[in-house]
Amino acid sequence: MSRLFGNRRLLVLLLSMIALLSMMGMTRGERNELTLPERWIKNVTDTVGSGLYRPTSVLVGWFHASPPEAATSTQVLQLKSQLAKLQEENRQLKEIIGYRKGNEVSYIAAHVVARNPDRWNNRVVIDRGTEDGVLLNMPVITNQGLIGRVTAVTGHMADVQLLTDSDESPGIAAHLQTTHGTYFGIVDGFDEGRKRLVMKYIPATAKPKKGDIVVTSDQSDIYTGGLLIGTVDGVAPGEYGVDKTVYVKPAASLEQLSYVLVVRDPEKIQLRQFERQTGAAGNGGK
Amino acid sequence: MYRAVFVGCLFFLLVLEGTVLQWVLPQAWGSTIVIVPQLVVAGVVILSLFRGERAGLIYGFGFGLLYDVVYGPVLGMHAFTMAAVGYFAGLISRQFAPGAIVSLLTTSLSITVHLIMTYGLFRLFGLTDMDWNQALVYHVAPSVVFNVVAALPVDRVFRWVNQKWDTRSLSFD
Repeated sequence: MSRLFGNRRLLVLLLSMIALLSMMGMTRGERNELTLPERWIKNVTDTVGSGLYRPTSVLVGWFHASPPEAATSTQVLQLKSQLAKLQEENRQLKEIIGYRKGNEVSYIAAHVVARNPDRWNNRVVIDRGTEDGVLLNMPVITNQGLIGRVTAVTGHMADVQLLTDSDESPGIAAHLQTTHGTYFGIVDGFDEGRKRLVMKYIPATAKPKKGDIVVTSDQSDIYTGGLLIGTVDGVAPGEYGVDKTVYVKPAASLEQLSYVLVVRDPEKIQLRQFERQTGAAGNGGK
Repeated sequence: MYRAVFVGCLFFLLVLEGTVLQWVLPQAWGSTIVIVPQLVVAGVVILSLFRGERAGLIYGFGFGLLYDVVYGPVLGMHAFTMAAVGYFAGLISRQFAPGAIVSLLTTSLSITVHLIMTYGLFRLFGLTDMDWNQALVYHVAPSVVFNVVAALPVDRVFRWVNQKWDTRSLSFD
């Protein structure tokens, strides 16, 4: 092997490393749209994947006949009564302000078809895309509670970033509902060791107890209000001494996902369109 | 012909990682021990053991990029790590007499290096904030054990494919 060839090889190696690192830098973070080849590859792979994922989920379901109970029955009853009360209140309020029927939140049912195998962060792929009405940033729930939001979408598929993903999730504006009142805070990050979501910046006056409910706030840019995130599992003093941090146990089981609902909230879609037009999209309070 | 079969096999392994394995590995049952399947990496390494480091580089890059598009949060990360691992596995296997033990050692070393590399890059780009101890003890260590065992059938199949479809000299590619 000649010396020149060896040097050229080194040069090629260095150039390709630089090219790859810059590509990583460029594709890092929030992207509004995937490129055409990416969409195409994703669609093909995920279509093949769905042929394997769903039968496996059925098989595992047979072996695992009783799904893990997410909440105790008293909690379920509590939630149900709360739900009934809120629904009634909601209906009355909507009547008062003459709320249009077209503004109602709807749900797009989807199957999970794949999950990212490298578990340094957490994403799943669902089999509904733009053609079914799924848009970027829509919240995704299961019958148990919030699981995440849509971060990339193609014609027939969408990527969902789970709550447990630590990749620059902007934080979810949330309400902590205690017996003494409701407090605002930000659910930001996941504690790997404790396996709990971290809710920060809760006023020091709040007295959260174990089992208190945490729901999304309506002030968020992307999350519809009132989606169940989880229950309080532990309390700690906050970063700044004047606030509190709460560890939240996710209500939805994020381990075995097969059937999910994408929340289509016309108000939030309009809000995002407005922000895009005016260029006023703030990153805070998502 | 053998190329198409290898590409098919690797693609199947790629899809398997994200689907079937996500239902049967311990993390699906709520375990703290998390096994990261590295079947594609194992496949690329095995391929480069008997087709040479250039094949390892090319297949590693191609399937790494595919992996990034399908599962990854950024493009280029697995393209880089898999190409590097495939290339060096080919180099290692050249230095020693080919055999079952060298192949096993190369595969396990490559898988370990690849796991640590991907974790390092995820940390570097701020895509995860799992701490080093957690990653090493609960993710990397069990993953290596699982993947070395899982690489054995992959090795058998790839060897069989190579013998059946390609009668040319092995070190020629």
